[in-house]
Amino acid sequence: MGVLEVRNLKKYFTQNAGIVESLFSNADNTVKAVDNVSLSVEENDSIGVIGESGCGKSTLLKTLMGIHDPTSGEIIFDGKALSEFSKSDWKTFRERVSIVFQDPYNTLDPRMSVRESLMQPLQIHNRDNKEERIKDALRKAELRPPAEYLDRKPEQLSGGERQRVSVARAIILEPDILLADEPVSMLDVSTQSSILNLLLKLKTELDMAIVYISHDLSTVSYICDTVNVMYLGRIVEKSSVDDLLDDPLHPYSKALIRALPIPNPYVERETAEVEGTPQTPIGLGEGCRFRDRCPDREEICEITPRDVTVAEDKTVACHLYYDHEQDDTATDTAGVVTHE
Amino acid sequence: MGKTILEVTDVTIQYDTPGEAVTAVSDATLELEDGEYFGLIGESGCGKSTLAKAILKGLDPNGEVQSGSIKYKGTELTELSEDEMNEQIRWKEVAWIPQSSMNSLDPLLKIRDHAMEVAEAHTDWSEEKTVEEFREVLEIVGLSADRIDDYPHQFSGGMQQRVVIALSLFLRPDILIADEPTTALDVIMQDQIFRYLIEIKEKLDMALMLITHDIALVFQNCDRLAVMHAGQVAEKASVKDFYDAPHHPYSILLQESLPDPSSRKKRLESIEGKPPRLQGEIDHCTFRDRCPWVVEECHSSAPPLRGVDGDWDNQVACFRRNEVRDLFRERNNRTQSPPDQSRTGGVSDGSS
Repeated sequence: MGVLEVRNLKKYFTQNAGIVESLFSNADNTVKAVDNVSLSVEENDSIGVIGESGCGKSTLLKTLMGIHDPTSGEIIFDGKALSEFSKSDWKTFRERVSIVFQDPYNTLDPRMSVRESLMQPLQIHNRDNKEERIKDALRKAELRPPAEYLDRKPEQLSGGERQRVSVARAIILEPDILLADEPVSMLDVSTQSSILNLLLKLKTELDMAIVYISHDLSTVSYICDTVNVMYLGRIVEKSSVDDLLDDPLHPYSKALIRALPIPNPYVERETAEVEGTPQTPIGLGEGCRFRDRCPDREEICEITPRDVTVAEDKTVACHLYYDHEQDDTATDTAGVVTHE
Repeated sequence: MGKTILEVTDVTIQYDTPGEAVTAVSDATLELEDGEYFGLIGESGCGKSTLAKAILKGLDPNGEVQSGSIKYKGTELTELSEDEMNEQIRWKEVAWIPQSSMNSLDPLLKIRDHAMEVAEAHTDWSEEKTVEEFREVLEIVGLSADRIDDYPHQFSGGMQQRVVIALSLFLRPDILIADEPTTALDVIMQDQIFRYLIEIKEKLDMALMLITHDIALVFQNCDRLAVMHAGQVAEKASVKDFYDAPHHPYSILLQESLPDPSSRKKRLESIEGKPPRLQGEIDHCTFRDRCPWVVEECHSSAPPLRGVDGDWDNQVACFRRNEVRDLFRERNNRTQSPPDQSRTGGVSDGSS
């Protein structure tokens, strides 16, 4: 079992409807931001979650951090469910699971020096040798020499340097798991690569797992070994990065990979066959969420597909990949093509 | 293709700020040929958007072209008045799609009325003719002409961006300048937009200047490109020559810093430091503080764009342009095992 287990996690938000609307309409206003997501993070894993904006990937991360309470499902850390956490369990959890956010311009307090920003976790978790630990974390984040950065305020740092300070703050307690939410999307390409290299280096050095969330498949493929493709709150495909790039199975993954611009003018890409945009995730009912845009749509897609294990460590939630006659949860409908 | 229609020569642009003027673009030279798709790439703040705005005389009030010339089909644009620009150039000859332009549609106007506004300001077309022309370009960007009476909110983000492209196209300009046209969109929508932009190229014989930070987009959609660093044009080449063998130190490192999902074992390079803030006259290479191969000369004068090994189709602004690739390889052999060169496409890495 993994260090961090997520089982059938759901996070729904209810929208505030106007009074007239709530009196006269029975419409389902629930936003199913995360709907039945399962994940397992093992030691020193690097797991990616990829999806377009609005697919629920950031909500997933916030629920993992305990910022949102899950609607249902379990998050289990070190054998204990988050729902049963005591105050001291939470403290240990926050010590061992840390996070790097997307925007280095907003995650550092503008009034705090680098030293003060890094001091906070050490104070909260009562560590000794604080000054030495701060310098060490800065060195690990490749801000050298540390003395030069200690007294700077965020405004005196470049975007890349700020993100390094965020990384230093996240690793200062030597966590087991680092959650990274689009850590490089605000940075220029030249700086982006140095942060990606830094994350990979720290993963080995500190023997930590990384959960990397992004919309950008090219950075995900650089950092992660396995990747979860998320679409409108559900994980539609889980696979190793190589397998996903070479042979995507879910029609959405196929579209995503075909649409990805490749930095090579000699590669002739196929274009994605998918049109339109995702629905708004309000009041979504039964069925595959991708069916309205799917080029392979069948009648059966009105029923929610189950996760099919097609190979070791590879699952896909699509009716194309299982034989419905042998399956109790879905009734076979005439005309459904099954691929086995 | 082949005839030069836009010539930007030695253009320097400064912004007046408290203290000394900030130099956003210094001595930039580039040209656009009839019907070609040209990519202008660089980091944020490198001056690429400023240069594009200057072409249309659309600089912010505190910005000014200090020297140099911008010629469109022989007409010196820097000398035209605001009225002359509106009558002769904007929309009709050179159209512009600004960043996050789908937000520039007026939510209270039907898209038909957007087209009417543009036509009224720049042509003497009748309403009938305007509608007819606009319906035609709507179809070109893959929108149904029947949606001409819809309001912007009835379209998705990607479709709104296509409405903006249709608006920019319908006076049939010879050049479209698109500043990060898809950065706010998801990859699948981005892919759709570029599919239409490529179709337009085939149908309308129009040149495109694509301004972006995303080299992959330029590699996939453009014929030629220029790389800018801190106000200077560092390199100009065809995308294939550039991919095979970039010659400016910045270009080399930039290319090696891109994660490429089609060859994921490659170790990424990174570029140290950040672009300098430039003030006054620039008499040095603006990449000098980040360059691993900097020499004395780089501090004393700005390197001009010169051909590499006598090839003027591939121009590089670096004093060491003919040896940098060897220096890069030497450094790599010294410090690490050579990066994996297995790239799809089966091309050489230009090491010959």
